[in-house]
Amino acid sequence: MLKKKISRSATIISCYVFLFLAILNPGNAFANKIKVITTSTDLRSITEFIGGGKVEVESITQGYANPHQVDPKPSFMVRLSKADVFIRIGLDLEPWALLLIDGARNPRIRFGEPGHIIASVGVDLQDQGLQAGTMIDRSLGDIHIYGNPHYWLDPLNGKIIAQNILEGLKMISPENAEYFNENKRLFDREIDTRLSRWQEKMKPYSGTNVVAYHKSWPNFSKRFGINVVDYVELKPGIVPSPAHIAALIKKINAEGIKVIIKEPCYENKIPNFISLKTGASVLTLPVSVEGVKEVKDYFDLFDYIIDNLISTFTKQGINPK
Amino acid sequence: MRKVFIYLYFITSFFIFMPEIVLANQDTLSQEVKELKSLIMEMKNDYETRINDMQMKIVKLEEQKSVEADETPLEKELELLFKDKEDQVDIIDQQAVSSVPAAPEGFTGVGTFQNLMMDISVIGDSIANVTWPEKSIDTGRAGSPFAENEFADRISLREVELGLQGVLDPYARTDFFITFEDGGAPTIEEGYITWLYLPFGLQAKTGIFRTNFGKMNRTHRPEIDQMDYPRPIKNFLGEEGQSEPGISISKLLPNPWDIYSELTGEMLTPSEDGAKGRDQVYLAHLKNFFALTLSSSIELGFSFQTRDISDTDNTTLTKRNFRQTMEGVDLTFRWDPPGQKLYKSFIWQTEFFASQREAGSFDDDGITEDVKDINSLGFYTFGEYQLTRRLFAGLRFDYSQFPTNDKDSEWSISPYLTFWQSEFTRLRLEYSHKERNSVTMPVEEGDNALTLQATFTIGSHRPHPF
Repeated sequence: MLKKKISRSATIISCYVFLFLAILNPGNAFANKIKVITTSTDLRSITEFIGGGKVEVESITQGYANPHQVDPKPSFMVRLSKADVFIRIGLDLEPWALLLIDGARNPRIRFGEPGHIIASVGVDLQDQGLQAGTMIDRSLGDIHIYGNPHYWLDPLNGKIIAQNILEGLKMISPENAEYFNENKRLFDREIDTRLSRWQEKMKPYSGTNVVAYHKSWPNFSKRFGINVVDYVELKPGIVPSPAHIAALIKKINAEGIKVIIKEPCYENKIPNFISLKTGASVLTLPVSVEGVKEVKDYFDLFDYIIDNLISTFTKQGINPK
Repeated sequence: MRKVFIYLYFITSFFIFMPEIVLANQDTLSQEVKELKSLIMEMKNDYETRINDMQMKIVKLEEQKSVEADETPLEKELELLFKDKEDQVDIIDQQAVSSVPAAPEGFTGVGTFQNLMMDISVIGDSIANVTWPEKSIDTGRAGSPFAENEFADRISLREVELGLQGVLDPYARTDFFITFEDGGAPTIEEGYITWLYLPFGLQAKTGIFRTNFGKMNRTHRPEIDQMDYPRPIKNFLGEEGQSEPGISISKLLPNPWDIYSELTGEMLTPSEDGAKGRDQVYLAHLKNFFALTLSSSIELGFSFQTRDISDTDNTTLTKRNFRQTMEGVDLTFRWDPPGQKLYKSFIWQTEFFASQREAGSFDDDGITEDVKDINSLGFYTFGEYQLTRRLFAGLRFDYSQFPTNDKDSEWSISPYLTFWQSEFTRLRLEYSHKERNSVTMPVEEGDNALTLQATFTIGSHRPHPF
């Protein structure tokens, strides 16, 4: 009788303990999706393509925010503490991520672990500072010594980013390797199909000169043939001076430049002033997914940029060649 | 007939001299053939030598491969051995060691490459100021509970901070901050090791560090939002805040709402003169962070510390132990819309301090008499608004009593403008007015100071905690 009572009590207690643990740790008890945290919305979008239904992805930053300046809020640490995979742009774009990783206390996602993916491995980089014979210091502004970190604005780099993400996901979840491989194959096919269409659209405007606010466009301009001849910022990350703006206005007038492109996170006042003095159009272009509401994924990003560039070129009377 | 002879003469001459011409050409050809033959022989020898070398290398590689093939089981065994070893060790989280090499047994500081270097930074903090009225620098104030006017008319490199920060191994990192004040001798403001991935989600650090009492105390002076620490921090925690040798352990508290809630416990040995080994400071801090929206957040912290202060005043007092207990509440509201972060932001931060300090006198026999509690309070509050991409305006108000004197108090108000020339250079202009309400040493007029500060950084400095 006593034995029966003990056994019954043990069963009830075990059930309560199980329920208690399940309620306290719902993420761990019933986890069936890989939890991925990315530093940017572009990485989130590509991860969603590769991971499909096997992943649950969140981005730390918003697509319209400046990726250079993000506060390492403790609330991000809580999200990272439960993540299986952390994916970042790399190239010193996210120094704030180090504090988040340390604060998250999650050994699965620290640097050197399979759950810590750096998307820039193997991508085509522009503006590499550490080249033989060059000197690099802070007089050049907020520069990145390993190369311009806005490399995702080349769709072919998108394929390499996807490859890095694929390798990481396969290491975390080898049982889904085939599923991820197939998604990667579809992603590459979509990029190839769309890239030829995008290049065809941009080809007539190859060599068109534009001015940009920030140095976000070297990879895009290389792939699609536009020339960014100057910048509104004096140096990357350095606020423009009146003398610089005066010289820029002169240059725009002298060279007949018709378009100024700027990212959503930068102010409109100075570009609008330049526009007033030169007649050039100010075109706000997102550099990341969700930078504007129409851009929902990585493919939309190029659709939006290219369509709006062409429409502005047309409006400004730049004829296709 | 004559023509025939001439014709025959030429024909004969041709046949006589032709062989010599041919032979002469043949000599040149044979010379060239010889040279070619010699060249081919040289090439042949060269290629034979190379082929021999390659064959030898292939043989060596094959031998090496066979040795490696023999060694593979050993490697596997070693892997299994270390795996077994790891299975037995519970000190480090299993996941943390699963795919990193085992830590070296001892210190191995040699052979580091440039890209394994630590982050090295130097921060310079230079100030220039004028103060009025003249009494601000009157030495007659010495002995009062109020600090001297430390900003009395001067230009100085107030502080240089050398930061050395880096990762030690897969489990820990270290941070050193060495400061030089007014060109004086170096002092270690902080120097500690942090273990990042202890079991149960714990983190621990030991060494000398700025304690977790309140919020602003953790930030180094050149990096705070105003010229100097608020009066209550100076009066309750020390002229430059509280930085002590000790041990700190922290944990994120799990909760169903995914709110950031971190509990820290610290045991510290006071470093001031007169402190004895048993005078440990016991400190606890609870930090809670609430992300209200994408743009705004609130941080609410609670601090507590207690210590035995018997020996700090007089080493002969042993009949009764006196204690000092302090409590603190810190509240920070931030607004910084992600899309306009470069241009718009606002911060409002407030901290309250309370202290209960036992005090008393002793008779000739060392018996306690006239024991009483000194209860004191203090707080500061400031708001800072970003006007443009580089210009910030702020206002701070401080009020503080004194932990050792419950009759006097002081307050100050400080409006300021901060201009960020770049991420690495900051200029600040601050006006400060202080008033003292003193019973023990009445003061008729307040102090005024107008200070210009230039703060500049070189090198790689790790971002500061939010």
